[in-house]
Amino acid sequence: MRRNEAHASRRQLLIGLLLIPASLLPFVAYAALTPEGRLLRDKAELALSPPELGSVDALRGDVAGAIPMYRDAVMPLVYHGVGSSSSGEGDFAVSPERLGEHLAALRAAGAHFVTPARVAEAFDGGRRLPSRAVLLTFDDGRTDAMMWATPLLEQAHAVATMFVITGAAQEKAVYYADWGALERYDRGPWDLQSHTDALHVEHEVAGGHTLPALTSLAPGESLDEYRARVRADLARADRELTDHTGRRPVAFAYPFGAYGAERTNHPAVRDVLAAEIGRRYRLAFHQDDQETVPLATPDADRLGLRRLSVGDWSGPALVQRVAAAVRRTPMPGDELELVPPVFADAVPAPADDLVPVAPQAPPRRPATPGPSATPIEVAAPAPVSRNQPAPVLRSQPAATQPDTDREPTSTAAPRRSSSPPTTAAPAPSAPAPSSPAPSAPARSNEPPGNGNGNGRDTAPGQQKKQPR
Amino acid sequence: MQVVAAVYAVAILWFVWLSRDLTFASLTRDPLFAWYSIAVVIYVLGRFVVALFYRPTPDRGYRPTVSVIVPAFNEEAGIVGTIESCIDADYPAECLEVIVVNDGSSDGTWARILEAKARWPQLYAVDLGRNYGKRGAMAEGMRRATGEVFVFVDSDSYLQPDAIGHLVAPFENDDVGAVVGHADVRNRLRNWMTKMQQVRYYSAFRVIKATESLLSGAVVCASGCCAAYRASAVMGFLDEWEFQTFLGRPATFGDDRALTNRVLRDWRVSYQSTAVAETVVPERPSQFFRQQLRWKKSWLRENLYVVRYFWRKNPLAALFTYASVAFPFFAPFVVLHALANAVTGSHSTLWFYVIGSYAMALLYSLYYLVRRPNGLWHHGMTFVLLYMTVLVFQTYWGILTMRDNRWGTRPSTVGHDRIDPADVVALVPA
Repeated sequence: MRRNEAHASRRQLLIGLLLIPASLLPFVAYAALTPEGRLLRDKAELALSPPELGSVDALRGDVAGAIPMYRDAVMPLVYHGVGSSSSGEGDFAVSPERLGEHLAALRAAGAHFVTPARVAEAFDGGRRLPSRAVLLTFDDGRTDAMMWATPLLEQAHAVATMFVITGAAQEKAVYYADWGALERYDRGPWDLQSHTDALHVEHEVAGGHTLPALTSLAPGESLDEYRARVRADLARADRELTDHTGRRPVAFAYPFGAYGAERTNHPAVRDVLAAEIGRRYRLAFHQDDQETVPLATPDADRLGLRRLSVGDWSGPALVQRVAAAVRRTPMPGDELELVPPVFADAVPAPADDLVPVAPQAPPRRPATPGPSATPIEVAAPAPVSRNQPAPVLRSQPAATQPDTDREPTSTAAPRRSSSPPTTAAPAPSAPAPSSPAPSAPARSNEPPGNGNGNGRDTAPGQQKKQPR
Repeated sequence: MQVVAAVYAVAILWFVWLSRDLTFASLTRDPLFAWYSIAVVIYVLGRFVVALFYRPTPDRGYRPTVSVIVPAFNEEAGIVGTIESCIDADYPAECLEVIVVNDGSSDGTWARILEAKARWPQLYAVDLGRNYGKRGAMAEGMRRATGEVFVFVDSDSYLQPDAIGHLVAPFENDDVGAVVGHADVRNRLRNWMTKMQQVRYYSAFRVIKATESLLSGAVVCASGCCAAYRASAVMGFLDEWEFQTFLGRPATFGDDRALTNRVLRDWRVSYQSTAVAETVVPERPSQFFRQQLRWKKSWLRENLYVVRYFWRKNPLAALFTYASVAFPFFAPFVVLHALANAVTGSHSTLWFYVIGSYAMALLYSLYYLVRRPNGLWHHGMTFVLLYMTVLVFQTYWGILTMRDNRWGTRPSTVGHDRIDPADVVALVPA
């Protein structure tokens, strides 16, 4: 009897011991299967081992000089989610380690991070952008992205832009950050811009299929009603953003990257939408045609700027993609920085918007003002480095927050364009990256053959209008 | 093992802390659920925190005269053992009297008691002649008792030798009107039901009663298996208690809770973890659920009494008590709400409820593991499973069947008769 009891209690002890790890299973399941659980796990991970920026110095050897020198243009990058690989989103999320690598590599390659307001100001002929400007953007206002990216951005002294779906920020939820959190992030390394208030959805349209609500008419909706719907939504988004950040948004990202060229059920939607966007914002972004994304330049269609959608790439791989974007960007003569000789033949010749010049012509004449040159721009001091043959690498880290120059509300008011709505349409035609295009502002947002309007020189024309 | 458990518990607490945003996030979306979650977590964890500071009253040799009262109904198998554990108590014999009251048992209980009487002449054996119910038997014992302190031991409970000495220690404080000891499950290794109850009893006493005790001595139920009352604290309302009615019917069960609550109005009621009794618990689910339902009903009945005076107690104790009264009324709706959400496609509420309850259950179980590393800890999880699926609905089931005051385990012959002295056989101590 005693012996049996002793045996039973030994067995019981063993079972009790084994069940300690087994009792973790429900938590593991919660963390793996539910969004709340994932968020909790992320928070725990973030607290236990905060993501580290890769070593900028170590990467410098790999990527220094890999991005050709440029100025007065910006590389827009877009991310969506940041989080652990098991979130099941594939391309829509990169891991924090990757993001850290990206930031470190960009830093090592001499990139400077800027805000949309800064870009808009420079494009309008105001203060010039720093060299190798990068506009780091994130879509949707997702909790995971902000949570993971914040410590990395702080370590990289970088600023990033979050395009917020303001409607989603109204309610306290798990997936999207609410205003309380957003305001906190806004005080940190984030700049909040518009991603519509409630139009980041697809809705059912006549005919039974679904299309993005921003680029399609609802059943029975007239074009005027559509315009009113979009206008009211954007006004709401702007009001919310202004209320919560104290600054009017200057930039917009098209939900689903849809701006009316495709995924619409009415041919006029694109123009109507462009007009509405142009009324409110100075820059608008989508992410068409990833293979040929160039830099954003002042003479590009500022309401159809293309962003490079960043995937699960290594830091140097990202830098290579950015370098490729630089090379395929036709630089307006005035804006062009000297390209270091080693890269010279890899860079397509920049072409003037109106007067194409022969390829292989670096350095370009700094004296000739491009069509986008405004009086202010001419007055801008010419940096010393412009004519130097080698790229200038910034060896010391950028100042603590060099690029977070936010404008107060008053100066950030969007410029109203008096151009007809159609001018907002991006200029199509798709040059191969290697071929220097004669039709210079050729930054296609469309598949080839879709429409014409080639050579519509919209953006510069628009930007000559004085703000209000 | 204990270290692992402690680290594990801290990790769980940390996750609870991390999840606060999630809970706050659902405040606007789902206020009932969110407030319930927040309140329950504070309530449960708060009790843990308070319980950490609990210390039993040391036995400083205070030895008042004690009457141990054992009501017995059809307990022929266990009654002698119970009597023996009382007689053999490590307590001065001249200060101890043991009164066994046979409540009209239909089996051989009285014969066993007579055998015990032959063996221990100092035993006080009383036969009521017919069945009056547990309260009648206890009241008869109290009326005959001479001690300053009455100790009640259920006929299926067994005192440890030093239990009485520890049990009376708090009475040295003149404010203390009642003391409840710690109950372990005697048949704890029998099957999963009893293992589960062992873990449950441990935390119910060592955490819940300890907390109530520490907060100005406000244990709301001095469980019948091992409880002591100051004679002067109970004699005043003996009749009120013995003939308590509810909804026009005799209040049969919950005698312990009813007695405690009447003492608690004017006295302190303490928990003494060092006074240990072992008690036999139900081994079959059907018995267990009936017992739980009985307890639930007496809990419902006594709440109506408790809420009327508890606000005068220590504010924290009052807060805990009112919370403990309120939660079981909300809980079933929270479960149904989570289920309804899951059916309509949003699983997050159900997940959160399940994982939250699981975490709380784990905390209680790990607490057991730290204190009693005997490998039974995980059975505490079974209790939570039963709670979430069955017991949580007993609050309302109890209300609906309130007027059914049958014991559930035996046919009730209980009326509200005064005990007829003519039928009573009393064998006084020799």
